[in-house]
Amino acid sequence: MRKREIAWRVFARELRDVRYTLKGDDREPFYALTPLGARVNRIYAVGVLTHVKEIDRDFYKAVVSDPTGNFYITAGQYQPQGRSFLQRIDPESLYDNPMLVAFAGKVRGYMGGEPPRLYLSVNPEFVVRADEDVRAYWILDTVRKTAMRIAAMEAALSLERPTREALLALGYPAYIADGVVEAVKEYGYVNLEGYRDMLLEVLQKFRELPMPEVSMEELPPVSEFGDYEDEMEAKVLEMIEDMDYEGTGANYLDLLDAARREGIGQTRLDEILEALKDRGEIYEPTIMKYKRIS
Amino acid sequence: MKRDELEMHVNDVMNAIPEGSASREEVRSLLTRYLNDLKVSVYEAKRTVVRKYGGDVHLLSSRIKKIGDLRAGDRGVTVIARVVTVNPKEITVEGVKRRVFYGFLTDETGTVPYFAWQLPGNVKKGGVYKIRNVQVREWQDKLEVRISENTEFIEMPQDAVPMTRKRDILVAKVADLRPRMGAVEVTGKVLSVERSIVETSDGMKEVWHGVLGDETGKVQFSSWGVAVEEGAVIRVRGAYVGTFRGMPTLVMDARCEIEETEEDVEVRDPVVSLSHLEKRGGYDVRAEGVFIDIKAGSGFIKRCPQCGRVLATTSCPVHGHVSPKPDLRIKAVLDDGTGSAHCIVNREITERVLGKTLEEVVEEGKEMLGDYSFVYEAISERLLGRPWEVRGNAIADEFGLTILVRDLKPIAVNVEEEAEFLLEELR
Repeated sequence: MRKREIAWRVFARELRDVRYTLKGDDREPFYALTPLGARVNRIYAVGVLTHVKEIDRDFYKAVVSDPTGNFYITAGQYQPQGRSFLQRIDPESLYDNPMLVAFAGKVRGYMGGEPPRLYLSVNPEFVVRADEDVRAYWILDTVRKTAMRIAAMEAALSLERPTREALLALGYPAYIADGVVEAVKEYGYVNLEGYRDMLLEVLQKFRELPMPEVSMEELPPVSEFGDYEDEMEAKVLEMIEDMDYEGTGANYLDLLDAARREGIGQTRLDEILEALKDRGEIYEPTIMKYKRIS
Repeated sequence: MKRDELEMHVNDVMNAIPEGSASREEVRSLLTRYLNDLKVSVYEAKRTVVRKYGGDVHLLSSRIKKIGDLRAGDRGVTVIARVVTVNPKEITVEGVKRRVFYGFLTDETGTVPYFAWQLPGNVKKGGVYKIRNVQVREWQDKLEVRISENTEFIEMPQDAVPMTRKRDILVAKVADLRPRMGAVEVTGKVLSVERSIVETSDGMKEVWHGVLGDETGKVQFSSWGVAVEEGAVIRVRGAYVGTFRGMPTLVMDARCEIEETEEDVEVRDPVVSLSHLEKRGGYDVRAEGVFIDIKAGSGFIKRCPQCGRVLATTSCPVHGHVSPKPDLRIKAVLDDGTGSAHCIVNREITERVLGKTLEEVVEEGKEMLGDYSFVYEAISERLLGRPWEVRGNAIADEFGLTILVRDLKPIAVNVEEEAEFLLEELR
């Protein structure tokens, strides 16, 4: 009998940063391998339901927002409970009454966009209304578990030859050790400080009680469903390539110009450049120049 | 506390305070007051007295502990141990590369991994040291000794820690016991015990069945031929771990030594992770997680009045036509992010979850013209996607992990306290 898959506790950002998936033969289940070594087949998360859209008849998409980013949910005929929950929601009402929800489900990956990249969405096994207590529990639990994965990655990256046995000897449980070894192999360098900062930020936000609701302005426009953030990132990446006239990198001021024409402001552009640097997709050969790592 | 034990603690305090700052009598009476009148723990009482007289709490040498006695959260502890291995490695902390050390420490009671930011030059692989002022942390299932810059290594003769482990006996805490472990040493309090006579191939034998507890949890035991008394603290050497109904059972037979000890054992039941339980099961355990699946067959059911089988109609496969008895139950999957367990909840607790008795449910069902799906709905609303604490026997077998729930309660987190704590940990 196959062991039941763990419902992983990961923040949206860790899931967004996934670049590798694991799938053996046909009988092997799908796993998204996160940069912190979680082998995610199923997740459980709690957040603010910010967007629901009927894509096709009886096929719904939704966005659930946590303090670090968005989870994308798709529910069709094989997710009857999740689908009927989303069906009953009036999308317009969410603007005035953001709703906390908890969900668990299977993570699915697909390639899309130009240049093609991996997108993840969740097929929910359930979506239910949640409250502040449930969210508090999830956030604290997820901080704790993410911190352990960061520590395990740190240990693994410091070992000359990270193996499952070495990690077990250092006291990490088996379900962490396996994924961490694979993550080191696939991702190589991982910006652990970035993730540690993310946790500190989550906790600091969280400490200021009562917890601030996610402000609607911060969310991507919802006129068109899709991973808006990722689309903008893809656009900026493209610009960097296009404007690298001499092979020494694209000039920041040129990028800013082009970004403004695309409706991306300076603050947003800076954020995107930071994110791309964090993920190792671009680098700064000299100051104010950006180059794509191919 | 016995007289000479108290004198030992007085000695410790005297050693840790500046000479002439207090008389022995003053220390003894203050210590007694904290211990007897204020009921403060020995550890804290000694520290308080030391602080009062301007001493250094790190010098409280009676915090010498055997490795087998180390507990998560111990601070300022001294161990006398052999350094089995010294492994340097490089890690990156806040962008800066640092060399750290890890390896294992051992004494006659056990082995524990250690971690050090730095090690004094005199520390060598294979050396025996009195290691003063270490911390003990827990990483999921395992303890780890933390060596800091305040840790002191004092060289000791090799024979301070015997080289050979006696008969390879493994010193274990109750929660670490797993089926098929052989030759363990466990110290615990006998929480309950019952004598019985059983027939074996060697004739009639006396056996004592009961429950043993320590600060990590509880385990069932059976003692063949040796009487054990309820309330006694016993040290068992050379017992092995069998399994009984999917739970580990400590078996003490003729090859095993059982002695009563004077030490007191505080029996506790900390929350354990489901990944830990998946490997061993456990008697009367506590776990926390989120219900992520409420199985069909939860809610209102009908049973055969004779065998208890759940029936879809009025006919039992064994007893034929019967008038089924109504009942309530929940079958649900609890997941804590490390593993999962099937939880089976009986009628009494299901009634508590619903806030209704079976009789009330039956009445309501009649009004709904026999449609009892509202019971399942109500259970889902309370449990699904929400955090709960469960208590009960955890059975690990070929079907996975099952918890027979004896108690169920919602988890209330102390948000501020927890967030503060985690911030501290991360910084």
